[in-house]
Amino acid sequence: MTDYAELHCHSYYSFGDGASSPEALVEQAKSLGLRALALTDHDSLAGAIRFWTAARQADLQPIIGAEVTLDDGQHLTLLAETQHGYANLCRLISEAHLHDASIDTTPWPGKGEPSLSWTMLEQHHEGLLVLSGCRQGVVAAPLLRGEPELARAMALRLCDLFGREQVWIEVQQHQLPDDDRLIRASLSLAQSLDLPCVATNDVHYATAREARLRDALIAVRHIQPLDETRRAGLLPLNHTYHLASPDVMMQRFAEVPEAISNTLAIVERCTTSPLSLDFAQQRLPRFPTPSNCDEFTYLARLCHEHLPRRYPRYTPEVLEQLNRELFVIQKVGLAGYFLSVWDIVRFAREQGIRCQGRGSAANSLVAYLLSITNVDPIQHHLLFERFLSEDAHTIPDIDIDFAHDRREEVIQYVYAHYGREHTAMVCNVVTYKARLALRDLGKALGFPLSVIERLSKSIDAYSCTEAARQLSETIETDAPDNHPIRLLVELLQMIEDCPRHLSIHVGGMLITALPLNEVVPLERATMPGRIVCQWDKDNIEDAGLIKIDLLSLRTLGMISEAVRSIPNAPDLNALPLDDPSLFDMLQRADTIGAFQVESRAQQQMLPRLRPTCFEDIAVDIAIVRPGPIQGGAVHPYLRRRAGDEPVTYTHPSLEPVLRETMGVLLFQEQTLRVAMVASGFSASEADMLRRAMSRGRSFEAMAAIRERFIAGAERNAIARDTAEAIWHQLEGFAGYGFCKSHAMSFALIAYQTLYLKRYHPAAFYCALLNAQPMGFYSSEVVLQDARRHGIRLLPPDVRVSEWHYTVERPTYLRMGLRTVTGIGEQAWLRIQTARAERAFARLDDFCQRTHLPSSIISDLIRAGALDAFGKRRDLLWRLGGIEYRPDELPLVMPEMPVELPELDDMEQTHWEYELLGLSPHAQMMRHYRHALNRAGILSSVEVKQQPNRRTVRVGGMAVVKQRPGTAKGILFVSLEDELGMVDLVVKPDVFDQYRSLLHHQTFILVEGVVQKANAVVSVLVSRAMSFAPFLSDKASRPPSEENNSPDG
Amino acid sequence: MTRLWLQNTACTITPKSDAQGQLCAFTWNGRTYHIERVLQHWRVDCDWWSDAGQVSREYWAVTTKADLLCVLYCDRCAQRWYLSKVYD
Amino acid sequence: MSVACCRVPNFLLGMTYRHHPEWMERPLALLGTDEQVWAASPEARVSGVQVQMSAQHARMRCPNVWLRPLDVQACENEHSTLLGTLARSGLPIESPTWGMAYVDMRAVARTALAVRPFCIELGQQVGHALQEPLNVSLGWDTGKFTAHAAAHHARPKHARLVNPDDELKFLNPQPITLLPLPSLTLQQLDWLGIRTLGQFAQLPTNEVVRRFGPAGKYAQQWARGHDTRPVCATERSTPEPIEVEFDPPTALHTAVLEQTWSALQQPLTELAQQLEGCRRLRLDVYFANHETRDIHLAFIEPLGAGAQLRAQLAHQLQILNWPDEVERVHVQVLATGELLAQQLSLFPLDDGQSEMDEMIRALCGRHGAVLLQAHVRDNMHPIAERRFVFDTLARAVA
Repeated sequence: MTDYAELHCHSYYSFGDGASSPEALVEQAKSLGLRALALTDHDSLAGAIRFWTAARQADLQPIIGAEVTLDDGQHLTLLAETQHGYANLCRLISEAHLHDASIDTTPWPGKGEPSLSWTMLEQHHEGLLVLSGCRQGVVAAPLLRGEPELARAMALRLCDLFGREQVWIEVQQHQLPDDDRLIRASLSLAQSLDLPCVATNDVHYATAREARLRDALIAVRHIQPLDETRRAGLLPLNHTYHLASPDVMMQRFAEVPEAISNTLAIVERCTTSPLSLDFAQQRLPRFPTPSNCDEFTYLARLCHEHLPRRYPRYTPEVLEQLNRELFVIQKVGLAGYFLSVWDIVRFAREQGIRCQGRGSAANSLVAYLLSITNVDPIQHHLLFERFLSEDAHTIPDIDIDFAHDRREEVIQYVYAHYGREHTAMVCNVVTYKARLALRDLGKALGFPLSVIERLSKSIDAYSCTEAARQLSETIETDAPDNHPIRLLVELLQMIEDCPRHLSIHVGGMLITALPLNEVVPLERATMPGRIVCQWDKDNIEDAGLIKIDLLSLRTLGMISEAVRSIPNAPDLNALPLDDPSLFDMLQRADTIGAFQVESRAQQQMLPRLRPTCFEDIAVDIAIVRPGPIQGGAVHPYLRRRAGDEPVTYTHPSLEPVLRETMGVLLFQEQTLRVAMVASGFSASEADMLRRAMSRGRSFEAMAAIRERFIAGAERNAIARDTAEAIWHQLEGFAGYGFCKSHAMSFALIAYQTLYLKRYHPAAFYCALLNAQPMGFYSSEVVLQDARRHGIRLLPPDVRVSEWHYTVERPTYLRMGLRTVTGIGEQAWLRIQTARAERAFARLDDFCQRTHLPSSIISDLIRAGALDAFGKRRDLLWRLGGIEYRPDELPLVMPEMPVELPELDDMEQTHWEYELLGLSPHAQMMRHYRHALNRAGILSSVEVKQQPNRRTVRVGGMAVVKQRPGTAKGILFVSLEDELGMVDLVVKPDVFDQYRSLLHHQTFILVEGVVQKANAVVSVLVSRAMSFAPFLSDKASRPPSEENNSPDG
Repeated sequence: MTRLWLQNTACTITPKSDAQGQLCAFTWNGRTYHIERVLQHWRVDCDWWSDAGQVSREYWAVTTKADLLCVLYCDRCAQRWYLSKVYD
Repeated sequence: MSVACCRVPNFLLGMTYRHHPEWMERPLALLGTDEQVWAASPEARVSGVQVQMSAQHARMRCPNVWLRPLDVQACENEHSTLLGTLARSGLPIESPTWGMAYVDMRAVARTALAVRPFCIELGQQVGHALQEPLNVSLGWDTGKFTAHAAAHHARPKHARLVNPDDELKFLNPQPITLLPLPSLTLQQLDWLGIRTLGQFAQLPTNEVVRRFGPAGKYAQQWARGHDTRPVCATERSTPEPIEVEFDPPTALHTAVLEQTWSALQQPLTELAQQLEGCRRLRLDVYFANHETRDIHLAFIEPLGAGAQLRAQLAHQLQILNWPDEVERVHVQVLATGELLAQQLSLFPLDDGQSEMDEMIRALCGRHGAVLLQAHVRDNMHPIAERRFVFDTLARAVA
């Protein structure tokens, strides 16, 4: 029986080169019977934690390594032999990416290609084993070029640098024409230098199946179609770069059996002093405390100091809770963490930066006392264990939202305070989801962009697999194997979850006691001054480290902007929370633009839930979540709230836990309490349960926990079927819900946005439009809503418009020039500069002083931004006759007057939709109203006046289409016309029947039955019809560009 | 002189393997050629995305005992063998 | 002038439907000898399939498109039948594209009333000569453009003769897209609300010239019913040949392409200003080792716009086998022709692929192998057959 370990293997964390997940590689290595597997991604350890975890679970020996790129472009395979070697590997990879860049390097070099100097190798070589690399390796490359002397010199250089006993000559066999020659040359070199050789397979995917995906990913990385990529010699010649069995490897290297046996010798070396990727002991640097007292003492002192401020007359209960929390914090050693967060929040408040803690931290009294959060955990019965338990495996996270426009100051403070060597942003691994995958793979296969756009609009899926399924329906079963759609489908199925690149996590900062670049490799981000580590938040947690989330909440920035533009604005944090007019808005679902309560689902919920107090808003935010919806909590809650059904409990013991939510599970804390009460779980066990549910653990793992739960419940004298019913509810909730503390924090922001909308609409809508894209609706929908609230929209005007939206008069918003498609900041700067000299007098004056290309000026004219100088068609005509080259003096030519046809309203609206995405004058549907009326098709307002169950026809623009995973394939459409919106509900059978109409078209015409429940009106669609007859006016016009028309 | 065959007109051959599964001879036009040495062996997988269609072939450059130098390939999709080039 | 325009709508599709009526309801695209789409059915065009696309690109846009090879021979035969039938009249004929021809009727008559019986007979003869489902429509006027517009306007199996007195009345409401103007010009006219020939005709001429150049001026004259172009039965005059010298000789593909292209600019622009384009082009490439190679380009419908011409030139230079550095390129426009509205189609003239296969089979049978000369198509391709294309048979045999 042959034994072999693969020591050169890339996962899909070798971005654009590897095609398999670390788990898939481990699984395949295990099934092939490999002794060990080394992960050697290109200049990266991003996959190391996942690989490490998977290999240990599969009982396969993992080896951590990397294939580094040297500054001459050649490769070298490095494996960590010891912990010190691991630290050096991190340092080397960091160095390859950073090149001495630090956060204040200017100009910022951007992401860039990694490359490593020999000098750095010399400095950090200890504890590393070296294999001479692939065909691009330092030894193989010169051999292939026919420079054996150079190859020899390189091999000797490696020996000098790393020590002879650390170096192996790597040989690979991939059935390439010159493989045999290269192997012979390598072996003879090894022999002449008395160096051992080792066989590897330069693995880039687990099985041959994924080979095509790798080809495609390489094309994506080089941003060119596969054909070009192949022509440029960038694709591998064949598909043999998958994991091979020991027997196959033995067969390939039958003449050099030691190349195979040496793999085991290397494994032996790497396992002598076992590596650990648990850095829990290195979490945070010591917090500087006054008079050098220890961190815990200082934390306790701070808490007691702040106690009277939060609780002027505190009860023993408060003290007891405080002591309990402090005890746990001390036990798990997190005092320093609390102090660090406290310090950051203190800094923000001192600088006047709007911030608020969110998430489970609000369950903590300590966090409340330190002003990290603003919700009283005692008053609201919040559960500390949801945040932190004695179990050392769970690491808490404290998330803080900052106003998006000032978060940068906070980040800079953290860098300055903890030092650059110990601080970096956590990365976010951008993985392929349907849209992105379609785009990248489509380009690789040579699809034109317009077709990619169309395909991506036509699919309704988040996951690549689902997108693949939908796409495969569009081709016939007998389509040829190389039908482009079939290829796309095949690739989409494989690319699910494959990472595309590293970006910056929305706010996670990693601070460590050890120099960070010895724990995890660092690299530059695109954004200036940003250095990210190669691990994402899950990796960080699995490595035992803690991140602090400094999030940027656009809504907070938007609130700040709105408040700035209101004279004598009130303090929004001090608003009384009982304004009846705001609850009236909520009950009418007049919430577009309001934080968290604006979505289509919320608009359906609000009139039924009818919030009457602040706590109701928190309930409302928490109830429209997958957890309560899948847990079947929504309808019972609404019925019980309306008094239509009695409040009951699955078991009497749950009453104290679920009383406030009328017997249903709404908040995450409740799942913990239910587990504790019903089954006697400890707080930390309950939290483990929650984590298991929310992280999608395996079926076996869940079954084990379930048994424990039911056994515990039976011990508490709960009948087995009742226990199973409770379990079923917990499972349905599955952690996809808000914790109450979080919902409370968000409810406060929701209330503030509603207040602005009610009392300062112009400032509100202006800030909201400038913050776009944000929230659930497009600018067009927000503007329609603004119109309904008496706000008038003024078109862009080169004489007065700024770049953004501005409030021009109390109820007037002026569109900014950035709303005109194709006008970039460069063009804006020219307009601004010219305008600052003196106002524009005429069209020719504008042209001659801005020197903008005539294509941009004609777009400005068509968008109405030059209306002040004449009618749009006349301006377009005049533009054709104006000469404005910079180096020539214009001679004014007498112009023959022409009579051009009047621009009709419909056409003007089309131009505005094309260039502005909306019309400041009219919603598109207005032009069709007359014809629709004649055809008996109702408006949104008329639909709402119809009695229940009446069959109606309604038409409009579909502004939001959603098929949420929780809705069993039902499509929800928000249909807008010039008067308002109406919701359509399309069941799957109807959807399938009218798919192309409902899915691809913006203008929709449907027949259906009016459904009224409380104040909520929707139309249950039974038929869809083409809107085309009403658009026929357009059809007679000459064809324009493919994507110009707004209904395209 | 080199003789080349085009894709559709390449001459089909029948390969023979020895006990170890190694290519040792092939039959072409009714005559059997014994392989003396495999000079080169390579594999090509490409063009799976193209109009022209996928290529997946394993090539063998061999000399025969009759002193013929030739390139054979096995079309992996169709599992058929072809003679691609003959040098004499 | 007295011109009849004889037009077979949907010529290529019609030829195909003749043998495959069952394809009629389907999105269908016909592939020419260059493996590119030469014609697409309305169902396919709605999904974005356009003439000149590759098969894969057509499938990307319209996944269910039926791609079928066009029977080029049959089309040519049918076109010859059309021309032969017209030629029997003994009148001068000019055919700008397959399935369309102008007939110079001056020898017959010069008024609508007088040509009427002759036109009807001519239409009937052509109608008889063409087989189902091809139909002919006929237009007559004193100018080519109006005759063409009339043929467009006429229903199949009908003739529309435009009386000179009614010419403007006929032309005014016709869509401006009948004019072979560049798409950018048409777009700008659309924005101005100018959508009929009548509206266009009314614009002040000097302003039209200022905005749309000489091509705009010609187009406007046609829109006003002034079209004095003769029916050219014989070859038109062609621009002077151009010599492009490379001193020192160069092996750079881009240098040769760019200089040749810039030398071609002037004749092409002059043609475009007359609303004409290049139909056939020949390049003789002289190498430093005294070898020469020639490149032929031909356009099924003449082209004024440069993008396709340039792309084709670049492609042909790319696949040309360069034995040495290039010293000189001799460029000659062999034939020119009138632009037609919304025309575009282009293919390399010589393509002996199928003939080639046949010959090889024959030779293989006799000799077992055959020595052939090839030119490089894709020099990085790992498979010999896709690396180069064998030269035409004539050269191989020579």
